[in-house]
Amino acid sequence: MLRDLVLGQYVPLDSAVHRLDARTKILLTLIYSVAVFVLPTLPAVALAGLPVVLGTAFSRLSPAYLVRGLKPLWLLVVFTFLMHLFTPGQVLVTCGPFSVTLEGVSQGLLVALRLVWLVTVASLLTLTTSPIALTDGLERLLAPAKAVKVPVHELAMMTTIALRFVPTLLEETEKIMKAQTARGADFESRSLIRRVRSVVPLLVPLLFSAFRRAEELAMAMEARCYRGGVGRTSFREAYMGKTDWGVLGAGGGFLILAVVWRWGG
Amino acid sequence: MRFTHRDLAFAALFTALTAIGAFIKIPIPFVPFTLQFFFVLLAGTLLGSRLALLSQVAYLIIGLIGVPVFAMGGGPSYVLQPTFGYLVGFAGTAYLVGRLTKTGQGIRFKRCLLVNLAGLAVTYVCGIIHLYVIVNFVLGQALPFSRAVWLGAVVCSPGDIILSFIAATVSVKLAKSLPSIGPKPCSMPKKGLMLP
Repeated sequence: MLRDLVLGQYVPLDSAVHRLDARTKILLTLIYSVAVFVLPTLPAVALAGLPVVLGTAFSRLSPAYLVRGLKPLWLLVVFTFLMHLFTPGQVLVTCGPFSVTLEGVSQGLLVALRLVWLVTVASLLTLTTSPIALTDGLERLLAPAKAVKVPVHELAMMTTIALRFVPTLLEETEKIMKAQTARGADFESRSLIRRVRSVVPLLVPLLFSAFRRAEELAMAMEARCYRGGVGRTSFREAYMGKTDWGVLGAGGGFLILAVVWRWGG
Repeated sequence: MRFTHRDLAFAALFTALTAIGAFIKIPIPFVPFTLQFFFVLLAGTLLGSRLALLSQVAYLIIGLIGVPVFAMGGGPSYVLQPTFGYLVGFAGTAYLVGRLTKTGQGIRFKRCLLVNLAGLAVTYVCGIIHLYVIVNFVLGQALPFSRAVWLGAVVCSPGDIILSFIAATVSVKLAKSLPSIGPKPCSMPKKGLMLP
């Protein structure tokens, strides 16, 4: 649990996909998501699985991870597929008042496959890139927004700090819960009102200890002369290499292909 | 407005607290009841609009980059979950609550509660719209809007209204004991008043 919170879904391995710059991977994921929605027919969407399979192969991840990523959404996928089966059209099988049609099956497969590819590509991104690298990549990608006064650097900094805070606070919550139980607090009361009220002796100490932590952090930042985004350098400089540009080019080509497939003829 | 170190640290803290809120589940029959919304309201009241908004946007980012801080995990594909709209709504709620709370004259319970309920409405509006769009256009099923309102707001409102009460109570207490974070009543002297 705690490990999940620190690393997210990231699986540290050494592979071609892991080594790509976070920016490349974020952009590719976006491009791919748009392309999958642009592609109109079932064979086209089925073919769109090719880049996913290639990406997985190059990432050296076991496909089990990707399947696990599908788990929270598989019900959604199956449900969608089933709901589409009964679109009016050429009847394949009739059972009772419902009849499964050819159009229904292909439409259902199309929508379900789209969902599956989207989810898989998204998991591929988070499985091969650490949260810190992703935050950093996002900050760099969003840098132009600074021109319209969006505090991009501050946002990235907050994200990083919060990532560090979450496991600590979670531990703290558990500790406070145990301490209050030892003092007779009742977190498992049968009565609804009592159960809701039992939250208060948990919240107040949690908030106060959290505020103390934030106060200390602010002081530590000040003592180290942290002074925001402008002109800051980073210890690990992200670098876009030839491979990154090459892969991005291929992604762009894929999107153009999808657009041509849909509207070009 | 430039941010101070304290602003930054406290906003990040509320990001983390919102995430923790998703883990503290109170088992109430039928409706999953988490404390997320409580921390969103508190962020709005105590941080002020801008910082509260940023803290919630940071929360969305953390969840979307794959750290399981949402109620059912995390990752970019969470956008497709029918309940994602509520999380976006949190950002709007935090902003609105911050906007409507007057930090100047201390926080009074009644006003705070009303502001919280207004914030709740923002979350619900975002949540229902997202639910409606996802079910109708991504999943491709017909869900009438009235049904979306029923599922998305009416069913889960009792828990959230209770949370708004708790949040108002706690904010009144905290505001007294906590030196100011975020916008201070008169933090920036007006130009004319500056000493030579």
